[in-house]
Amino acid sequence: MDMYNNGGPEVSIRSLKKDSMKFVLTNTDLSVANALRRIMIAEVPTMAIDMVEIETNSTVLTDEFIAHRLGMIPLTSFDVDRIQYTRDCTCSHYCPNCSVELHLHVKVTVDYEEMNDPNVDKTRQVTSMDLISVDDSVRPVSDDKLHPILIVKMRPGQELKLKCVAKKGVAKEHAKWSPVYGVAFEYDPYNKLRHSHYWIEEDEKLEWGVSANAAEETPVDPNEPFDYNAKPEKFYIELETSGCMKPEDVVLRAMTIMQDKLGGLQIKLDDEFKEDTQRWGY
Amino acid sequence: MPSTKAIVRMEEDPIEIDTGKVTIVPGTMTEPQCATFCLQDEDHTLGNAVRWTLMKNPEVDFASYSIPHPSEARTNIRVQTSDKTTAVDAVFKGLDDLTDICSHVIQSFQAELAKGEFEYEEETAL
Ligand SMILES: [Zn+2]
Repeated sequence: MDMYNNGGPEVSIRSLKKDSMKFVLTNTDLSVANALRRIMIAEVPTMAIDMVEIETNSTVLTDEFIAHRLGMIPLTSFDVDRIQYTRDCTCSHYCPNCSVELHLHVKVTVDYEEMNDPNVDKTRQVTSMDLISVDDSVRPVSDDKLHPILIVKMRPGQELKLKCVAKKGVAKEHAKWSPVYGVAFEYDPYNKLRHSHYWIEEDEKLEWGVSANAAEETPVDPNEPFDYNAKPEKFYIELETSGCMKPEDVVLRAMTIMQDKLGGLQIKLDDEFKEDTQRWGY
Repeated sequence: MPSTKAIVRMEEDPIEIDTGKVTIVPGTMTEPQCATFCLQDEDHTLGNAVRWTLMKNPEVDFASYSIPHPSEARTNIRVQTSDKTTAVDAVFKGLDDLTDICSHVIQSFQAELAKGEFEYEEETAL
């Protein structure tokens, strides 16, 4: 580790669950912790439905409405590194190297005896479980049968037939590609640094209180003078994934993405400008 | 999303690596110790963190970043250094230091995962 920051950042994991985790990042700057947060939200690639070819749609929802709903369905992206971005692929439109196809075909048949029976529920719920993927590693997250994602409701006689093309992407382009549903990020729960300005009616303490993370810090002494040199030290980070990846993988992937960006910039800097400065005699 | 490619020659097959787009804003490098770098397709994520590592370098007299226009995907980084180094070298070192910090986070995170001293919930049926 570099000399500047006595030993470098430390991570302490508080909890790890199937689709969420909590950890504390210490001994680093706010800018680094914030970069991690921003990359987890917007730059970790995942798979999401990006093109929908509708063959038949006699449901009550329009084609574009259904296409939009399909785009929002999280797809398992454990194996996303294997797939290329379409813009980097050699194909012209899409191919198995840069996309995964998912098919959906639901036709609700009419049973005339049932039709007139008010006690039978004739509504067919089309869910993410009806999406059949050609690649088992990229399939709707919610296929646990208990909580599938509703796409559209159909009545007897209606039909929906379509083909989806899932592509690799990042949430910088569209939020559907974000691996996380939320990232909680907190530092300085007692607001000692006065980075927050609370809107209050009468009493700040009464109206706002302190977060659970305050248990790890010492409360403010009202007589203590304001330390204008103080810097945030402990970052409480909590993330919840869409189920497309493991939460620990999202964090690790985010850090490697940061390194890749930096490495790319270094190559470019080395190629183009080292000579530039050498011309000046350096 | 525009990106440039560099072919890196190694023992085996050449690998393509995404290189960032960096330019020096014309007229800002009046001497080797100062320059404004323009990073294409980068934002606060990298800008602020690089600014911090630059300022950590004792040879850097001034470092700052700005996003000149919200609808243009580019970030400017201004660097001024002492005579002991150059702006290009300082930025190179800044990027290096930030890479080390990222490695350290990864190592620390993986060590914590291996230790397993946290609340854990077994994977439910899927
Ligand atoms: Zn392709």
